[in-house]
Amino acid sequence: MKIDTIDTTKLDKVAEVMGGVAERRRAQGEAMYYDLLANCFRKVQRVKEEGKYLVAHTIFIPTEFLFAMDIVPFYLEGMCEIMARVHGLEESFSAAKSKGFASELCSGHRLVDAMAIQGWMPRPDAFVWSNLVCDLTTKTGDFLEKLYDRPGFYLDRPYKNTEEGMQYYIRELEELVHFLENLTGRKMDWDRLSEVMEDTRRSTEVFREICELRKAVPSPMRNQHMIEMIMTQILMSGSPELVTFYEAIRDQVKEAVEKGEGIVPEERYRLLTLFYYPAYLWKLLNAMQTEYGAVIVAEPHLSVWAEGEIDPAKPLESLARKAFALYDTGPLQPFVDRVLRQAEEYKADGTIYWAHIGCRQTCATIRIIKEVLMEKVGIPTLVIDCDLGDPTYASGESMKDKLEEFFELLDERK
Amino acid sequence: MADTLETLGEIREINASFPYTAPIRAWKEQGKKVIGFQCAYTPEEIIYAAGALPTRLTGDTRELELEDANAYMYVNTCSFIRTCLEQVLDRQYDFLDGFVSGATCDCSRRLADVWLHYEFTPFVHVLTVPRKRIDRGYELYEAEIRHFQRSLEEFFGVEITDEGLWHAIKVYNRRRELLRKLNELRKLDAPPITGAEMMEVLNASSRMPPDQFNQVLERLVEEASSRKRAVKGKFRLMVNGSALNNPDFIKAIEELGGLVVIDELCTGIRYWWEGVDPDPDPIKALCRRYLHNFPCPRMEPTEDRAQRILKISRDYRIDGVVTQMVRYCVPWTMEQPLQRMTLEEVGIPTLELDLEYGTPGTGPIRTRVQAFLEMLEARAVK
Repeated sequence: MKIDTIDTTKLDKVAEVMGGVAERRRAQGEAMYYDLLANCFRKVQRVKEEGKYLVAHTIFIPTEFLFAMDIVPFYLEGMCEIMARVHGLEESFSAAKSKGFASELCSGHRLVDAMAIQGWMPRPDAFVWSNLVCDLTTKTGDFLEKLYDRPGFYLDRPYKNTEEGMQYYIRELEELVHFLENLTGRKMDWDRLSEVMEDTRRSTEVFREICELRKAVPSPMRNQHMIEMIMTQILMSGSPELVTFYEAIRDQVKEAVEKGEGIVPEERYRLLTLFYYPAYLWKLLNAMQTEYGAVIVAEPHLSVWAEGEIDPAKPLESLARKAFALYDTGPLQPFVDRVLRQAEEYKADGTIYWAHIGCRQTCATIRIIKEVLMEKVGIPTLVIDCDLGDPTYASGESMKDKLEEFFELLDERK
Repeated sequence: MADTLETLGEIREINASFPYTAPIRAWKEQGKKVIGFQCAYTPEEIIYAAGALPTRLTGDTRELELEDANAYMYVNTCSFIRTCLEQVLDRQYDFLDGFVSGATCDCSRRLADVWLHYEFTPFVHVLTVPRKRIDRGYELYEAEIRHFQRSLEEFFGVEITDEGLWHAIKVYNRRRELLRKLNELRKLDAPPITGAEMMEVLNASSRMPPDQFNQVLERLVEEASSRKRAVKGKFRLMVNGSALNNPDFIKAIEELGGLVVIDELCTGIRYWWEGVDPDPDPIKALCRRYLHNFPCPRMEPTEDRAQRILKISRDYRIDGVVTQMVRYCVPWTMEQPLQRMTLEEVGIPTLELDLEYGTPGTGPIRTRVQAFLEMLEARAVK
């Protein structure tokens, strides 16, 4: 099976829809995130007329290399999911199933395969994928490379953060640079890469500032900002646009902290959340704030990438440290320590674990995290069964009911 | 034709007391250690050279209720891993002194996290296994293996010498050689051993000291080579997919007229396929073997594996493939669409079965196998 024809109208439509959402949100001051998303799609739209290369990649591939070489990135899991949402989830899941991608596979990856099978995903010049963060990302490129008949590069992160593991990964990154050089016929401009890495350093620094500010009581940040920050982190790390976006959020949060204002008038529950929130549940996240006074104060999983120290003069080492900060590909214990630390530092009352049925590696150890949070910090955890991309797996209403029960429990504990 | 191979009786006797088999019990009674391992990327030779007996964690001949395991690992952990855990929680593996796993698939490495956290055994070690078989991959794996060697030496207070390693390599290579001989016989039109029986042999291979197993296997190969037994089936099949240990699953296929002449399983040929080549440094030799062995879908680009599968299909003259995909075995499920297409291109159809680990292949599975064999029959008539 090969993809011969690409339906470019599908991408055009998504860019238009994202632009439209941005316009509608401008009055409320919420347009920036959608502007960034729309721009990502527009850059992909224009890639051929501008004579640029397009590289499709899985989560946490260092976009810094792509920006330094003026290559346009296409973040597979994130952008395909948005495309499917715009053009029809049901049809997309059916397309994946028709080629044998079983429904127990992560919906995010089924949607990637679906966009490819339907010929809706633009034809990239190459694929880059890795074991950051799971078995699915490890296998994604195999199928796409064959389907689109395009070259690919697999980036292999060792399990343990040892000296040998670090050196191995740095050499993997070097080889990825060579792969991109061969693809484009251009050499990497290492000075330019250092400039790009300076943006990565700045965005990481601002991100950490935001995390620090969020320790304030009452909580100064909207529940859904973190998912916007992580999405843009994956889409555009190493770009000045990301720095600007994080700075805008930082400024809002800082102002609120300086004024002693919380994001809700009456803060009742301070929550840690683990793993990604389902994208279709943003209304529920808002309802948690507005109806229940439940604020999310920290997301140890979504912020873990920022632990890696960034030195623009040493881009490969910096990007390796960033990749090794991700616990998903490595042992659990450092992450357990991080969760406990944040539960205390952020004065959390409880934890919500979004148990995405398609994610085996994060769900497998829910019990451990739940137990240590209760034993060491004394806070309960609510596990919500959900599917990140498929709203039919669990209804928003049933989740809301579970949340209500959990909030009652938290009330009783007070 | 002989009805059965007599040596299989010995094999069955060993498997009957799984997991704490009589040979393992006898080993422990000598005051020796037993170390469980989970993934085929674990170099057993190092454990054996440390004076301990490696035994692989598996299920057996039935699908277990996984109530306790479900409480420890979420239900989207594959049922192979949860079956292993269930038996640990049920105290069936209390005889283990240690546990080793390769950081390969997500479920496998997360089992190691659970094992470590709840301290099921005093010794736990997880190996980084690079996915790339290039110089730096071998170098990293070598560093990991040397670290593993030191961990065993320090924890158990033993010395792992080169002589000990070479002895272990010799014993395990002999096992691989004998398994290869036995599988060569399966290329015959009417092989002397069924696919279900072969599964029983493979199960026993990791449930007793390897030198003792070799002695049993020597007798089995000799008996099978005598050509007194010839098993016939309508169609020559390959079974592949996720981990499989239940011979009854294969037996169900064979009772319907399929003859399973080869597998492509991590509990089958991928466990023993390649031997350790000589090298002045036994650790380097082991590294090459374990990284270069027939890879699992998590570890190798699909295309390379496809070529190996096609070669086996030709060598064993396969009419069809039965792929058993344990739910939430992601590496297989992700790879299967491409492997199916590859096999279809050379005219080999695939039956895909979504199931839980340990199933004996009854009920709807049997019906689907029957329909598949009927389809093969219709093709043959055309």
